[in-house]
Amino acid sequence: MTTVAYHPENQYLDLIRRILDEGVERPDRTGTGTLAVFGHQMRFNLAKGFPLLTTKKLHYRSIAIELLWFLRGDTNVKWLQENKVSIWDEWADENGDLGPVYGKQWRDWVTADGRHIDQIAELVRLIKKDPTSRRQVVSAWNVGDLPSMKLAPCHCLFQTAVMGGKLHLQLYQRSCDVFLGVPFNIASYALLQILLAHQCDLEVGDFVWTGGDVHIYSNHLEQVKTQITRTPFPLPQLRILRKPESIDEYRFEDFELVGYEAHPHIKGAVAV
Amino acid sequence: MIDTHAHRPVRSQYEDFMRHVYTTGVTKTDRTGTGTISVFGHQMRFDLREGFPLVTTKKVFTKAIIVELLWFLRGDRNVKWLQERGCTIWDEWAGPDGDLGPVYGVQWRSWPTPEGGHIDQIAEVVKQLQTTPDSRRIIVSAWNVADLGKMALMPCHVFVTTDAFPRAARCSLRRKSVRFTCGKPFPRGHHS
Repeated sequence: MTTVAYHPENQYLDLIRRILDEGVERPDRTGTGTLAVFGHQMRFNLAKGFPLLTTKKLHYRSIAIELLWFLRGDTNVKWLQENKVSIWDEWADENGDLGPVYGKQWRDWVTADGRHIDQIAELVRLIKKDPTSRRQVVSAWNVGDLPSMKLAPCHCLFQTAVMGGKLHLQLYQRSCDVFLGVPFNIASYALLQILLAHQCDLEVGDFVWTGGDVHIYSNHLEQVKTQITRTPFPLPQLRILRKPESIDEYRFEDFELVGYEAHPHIKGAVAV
Repeated sequence: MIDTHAHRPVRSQYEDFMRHVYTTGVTKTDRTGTGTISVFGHQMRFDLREGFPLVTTKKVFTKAIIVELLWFLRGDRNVKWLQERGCTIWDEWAGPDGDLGPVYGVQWRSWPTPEGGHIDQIAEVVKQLQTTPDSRRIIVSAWNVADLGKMALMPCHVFVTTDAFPRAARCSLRRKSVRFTCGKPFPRGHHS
């Protein structure tokens, strides 16, 4: 009898298989067409490794820079471009503006009576001062601002919790491009969770990813069929080299990715 | 015709979930001072074509579930309408005039915008399901960050997404805080 060792990345590969088996053909906003399922959950114990997929080489630098860009409260692509990241370019206007997307809602949610709320600062405060709080929630789904955003938030809402001295984080993602987007989103929020735990002197726990409309675009089917034939390598480690005074002061150079071994990158076009 | 209801499996997702929390959960204090056993992150799935997911291992006060949902859909924030219909489940949190602040009903039907307008998220969902059923943005959020401080109780059932896959509407509910034995059986029946 062959025993297959458990690897957290198998959850992602099994998700692809689930969609190929059960997915429903569905047209979509971009006109590309998808195979889709509704509702899925995956869990990654961050103490066992950083969930950067190994069955396809990922551009980890873009993921980390984008997270720092969110944490800056930035919604213009200029800073990303200066740091050689172009993943948001297709949606930006001629000034590089994206409207009040993630960075704005995370750091500067504007209320009807003119207050400005920094959800990330509030989250860090709650984790430190009230770790048992069940209200450690950050939402990008600001209903009043949706029409002004160039793209409605895909990763809409996340929640943290402290249990047994560990910081857990769950993300709710309403729309999930399994081939291109989800690997990014998993690594991005895992990194965020690591930074939050680092700032709050906690160990990392589970990253729980929950998706709503979980789909593979029709022009990615050959790519995913290739990817599921690959055996994952051991997950890398993500080390933080410096502890700044606040969550706002991390730099890309503070992160060290160790032991990332991956199969060759697989190209796929993004649906805009 | 065979009555399949008599042959439903005894074990069900809800009871299995309860066992999971009981056997693997971590002891944790909480806002109410009572103390809990907790796990983080869980998902259950109910195919509504198989039946209405009302817990049967404990009698649930169905009328209160329905009345509360109608109260949300009214956009109401005061317990008076609930009390007139024999539903007291929100009484502990209401102010002396019965007000709860801008809780679920207000956010669902009248989310205030900085420009002074109001957005009816429920009407918007119905419109999207009818006109753009393939949309991946059919969402209702109760987590209005601006209003959290004014609510008697912050939303537990925070976020609902709906998809229309061929000929069927599917719904995902995101809860931030789940309490067994008292709180849990309600929202599962609600969002159906």
